[in-house]
Amino acid sequence: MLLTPPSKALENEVFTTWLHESGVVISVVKKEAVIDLEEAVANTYMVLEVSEGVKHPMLVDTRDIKSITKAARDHFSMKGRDNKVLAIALLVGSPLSRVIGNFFIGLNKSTVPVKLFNNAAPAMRWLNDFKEV
Amino acid sequence: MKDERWDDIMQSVTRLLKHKGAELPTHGDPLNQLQQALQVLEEKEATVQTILPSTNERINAILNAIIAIANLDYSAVAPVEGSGDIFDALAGGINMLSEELQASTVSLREKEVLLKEVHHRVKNNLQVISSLLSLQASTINDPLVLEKFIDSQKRVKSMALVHEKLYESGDLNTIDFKEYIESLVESLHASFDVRSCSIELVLAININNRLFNIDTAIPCGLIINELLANCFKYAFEGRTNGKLLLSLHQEVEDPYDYVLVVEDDGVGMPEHVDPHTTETLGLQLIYSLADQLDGVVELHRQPGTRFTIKFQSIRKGG
Repeated sequence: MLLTPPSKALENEVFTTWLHESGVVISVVKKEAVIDLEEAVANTYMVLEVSEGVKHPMLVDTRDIKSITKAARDHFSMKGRDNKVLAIALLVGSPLSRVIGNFFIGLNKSTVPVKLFNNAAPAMRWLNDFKEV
Repeated sequence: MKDERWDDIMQSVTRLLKHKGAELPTHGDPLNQLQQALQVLEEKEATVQTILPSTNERINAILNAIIAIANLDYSAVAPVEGSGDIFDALAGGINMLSEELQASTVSLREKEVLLKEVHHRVKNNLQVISSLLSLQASTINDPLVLEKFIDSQKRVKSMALVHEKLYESGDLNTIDFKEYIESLVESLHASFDVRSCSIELVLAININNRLFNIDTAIPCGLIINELLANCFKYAFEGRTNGKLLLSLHQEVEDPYDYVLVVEDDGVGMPEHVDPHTTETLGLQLIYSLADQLDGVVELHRQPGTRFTIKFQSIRKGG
């Protein structure tokens, strides 16, 4: 229910992205998605568009991801560029998505807080603390 | 008795089924249950036999990727089949690790190239300074001033030689000091006009660890430069032949690591020259540089002159 995209959600080959009514940007990675830098940059533009210039916390559902390149991970770590989001909750499920999530946290080290979750509800609760008042 | 044996059989079958992730069928009489159980076990075994080859292939592919990475070959990719299982997770993790290691290795190689370039440029700059001193010296008429210029030029050259050896070395941090001494001695010998005197030059370098870092090599090289320059300039004045020995060997007595001896059978250093109070720059440098190496200098005069310098190798971060 929470992760069902509304009709106005933006979509490309690998992501479906929208701003949830709670003020959290949600991005769902499509099944078998292979994410390279091009897709990562495209996602950043989608987040910018749905955010309408306001920084939001973000939930990324990576459970169906197939792979993500180093260039894309580095891009998502936001080093050396202006943060477009306040915090990232990564939703993981499959063993592969867990490995990718842990890699992202352990090696690529994002400049904003990142945490892994198995379920969307606790992730949204955690992200709630990062909303700008 | 028959029922007890039957119960034992069914318990064993139940355990076997449980081990294979299945349960004993609940329908039918015991014989029928046993038939169904055997059928389940046959199907399970067939599945295992089907999966096993592809599992082995995936394990081999992952192992191949690991071995390639261990050989610093980052072109190998462990296949992610999209089945979402543990093999995909392992393959994905290994691929990401390969990418991170590749990036680190490239960065290390870039640093090596940069360090090599720095040593090369330092050496070139020192050679430029040496040439400038030489050009300046050509305009000087006063023989005492001229000598000081030439001495300085030789000191700069001995330092340039360390940087030359450093960028030629494999690790860019240490130089083969035996090779360095041989080059330095050859260069110094050629730079002095000793045609009137036949000098027998003996090098006795017996050190297990020939690799000196720059912090040890530069002061030690300068000391050798000063000692040999003194010999070539003064030791054999008015002589037609002479003997010069340079030895470097490992010291067993703590706290020193090496013993450097430069000895000649020349005219000997005059008694009135006190190396501790002399205004001669060369002698001052020898004592000051030995101090840098936490070393001591011993001087023996007559017959000839013998300098013995015991010193430690400078360990970075120590």
